Amino acid sequence: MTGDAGEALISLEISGGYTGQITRLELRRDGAARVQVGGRTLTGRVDPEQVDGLLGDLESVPAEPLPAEPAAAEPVTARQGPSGAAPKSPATAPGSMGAADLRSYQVHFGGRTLTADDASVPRDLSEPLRRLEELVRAVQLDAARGRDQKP
Amino acid sequence: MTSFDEGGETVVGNREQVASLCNFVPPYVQRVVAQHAEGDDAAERRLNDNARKRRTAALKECAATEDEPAVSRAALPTTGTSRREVYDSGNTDQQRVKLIRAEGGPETDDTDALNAYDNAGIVRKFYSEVLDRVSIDDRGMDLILNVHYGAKFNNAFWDGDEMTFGDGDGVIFSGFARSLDVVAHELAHGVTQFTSALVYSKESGALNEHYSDVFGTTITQWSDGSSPAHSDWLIGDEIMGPDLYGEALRSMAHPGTAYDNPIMGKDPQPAHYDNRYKGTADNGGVHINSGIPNRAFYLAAMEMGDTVEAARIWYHALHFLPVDATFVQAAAQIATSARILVKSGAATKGAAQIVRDAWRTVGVITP
Repeated sequence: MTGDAGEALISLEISGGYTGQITRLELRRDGAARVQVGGRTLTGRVDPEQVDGLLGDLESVPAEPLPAEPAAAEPVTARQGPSGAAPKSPATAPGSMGAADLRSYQVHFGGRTLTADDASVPRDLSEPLRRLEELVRAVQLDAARGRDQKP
Repeated sequence: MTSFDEGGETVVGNREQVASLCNFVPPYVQRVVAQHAEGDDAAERRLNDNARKRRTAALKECAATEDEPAVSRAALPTTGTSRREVYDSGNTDQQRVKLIRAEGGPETDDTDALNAYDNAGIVRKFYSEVLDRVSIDDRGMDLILNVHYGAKFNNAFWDGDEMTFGDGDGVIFSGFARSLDVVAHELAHGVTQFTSALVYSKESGALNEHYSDVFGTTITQWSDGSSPAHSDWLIGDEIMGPDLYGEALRSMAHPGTAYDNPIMGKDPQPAHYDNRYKGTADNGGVHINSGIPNRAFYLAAMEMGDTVEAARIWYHALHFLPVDATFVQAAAQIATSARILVKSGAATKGAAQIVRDAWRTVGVITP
């Protein structure tokens, strides 16, 4: 693992989506967390073991991660209706060139950068992203409720 | 060279000749004019199906002669019967997991599915009755909606052929499918895709977002029967969670004022072209700079006193925007569309000037 207590070990940027928000998270090894959103900087603290765990999980994501989910053998189109429809991921959608309001994600750690959007979150990245978003939300809510734990 | 059928005769010509025929009155305008002139039933009889089809075909032909033709619009095949299908993703990252509400089928006790179904019905009705458009692609495309997507998923999106809604985290945002303006916004992305295919980046992307907000708010006002002066012009106010109650994601009336709180910070939308965002995040600020045209639309609708009339002008222009349209190009086209619709009697006299003034106020048209 890389990084010391003074620099961000993991950073995340989420932008776009219906809400259009641009949110940045920086996590340090000592658990210090900083969220930048809407021109404001919010600070908080998380369990350093969480940060280590996240880093380990991110480092295990292969350089060429697996696609989002196994796609239906034959993409189901809107014309086919429910008969024979199989679950599919947004990434398999025909005509996806017109996609809009997908959130994009950029995760930086250990000299690597992983990118994804709502339609193409690799399976190995899905769970770490969910946990990172939880941390963002926790810092936001702590700040809103006057529980800022600025280090 | 291109050709199309007009009034029973096949017209063949080069781009300039075809373009000169593009100032025709589209079908929904014909109907409005006719309804003003005589009773609704008589107007409908005059506008028989063949005439409507000829004019719709001509509209598409005209749009395809723009400098940057929308390839996706021309290439997409005709589709279904505009039926609605609502699927429950079961909080997975999959679409079409379980069909829980289909057109005319049994009810479900899932509130989000019911709301998505009903809201999609209102949107479909607006396009049909007000703009004479048959579903998303004007060819009867079925409306596929996925609810309960992901875990605490704080988003709703259009992926190119269907809509997907998260439940929200229940704290900052709540169920996206329950809001008419969210459903109308996402469905409008499909309309834009099949009409002008505005590239989802920088100014053309901001226009793409703008059109979705225009139809989101117009359909909400149309459904409520509210006037522009008595509408809040807020986007996303219905999905704000308990900690953000009373705020919204965007204000079309006053961009930059929708929210200001410790959770989300301050609304970054500019209200004037001089203050536009020039960074790379959010696909070049598509949700940020949309505030500029949003305010132009608000100003125009308020001055006209009729949001639906303003939306008709904007919709007419959408057919003629190049895929990489800039704000300046959009402003010019929308003013041209206003002039065409005024000339045909479908818009109030003075609408073109109102539109130009609105774009001037937000700094896109320079004095």
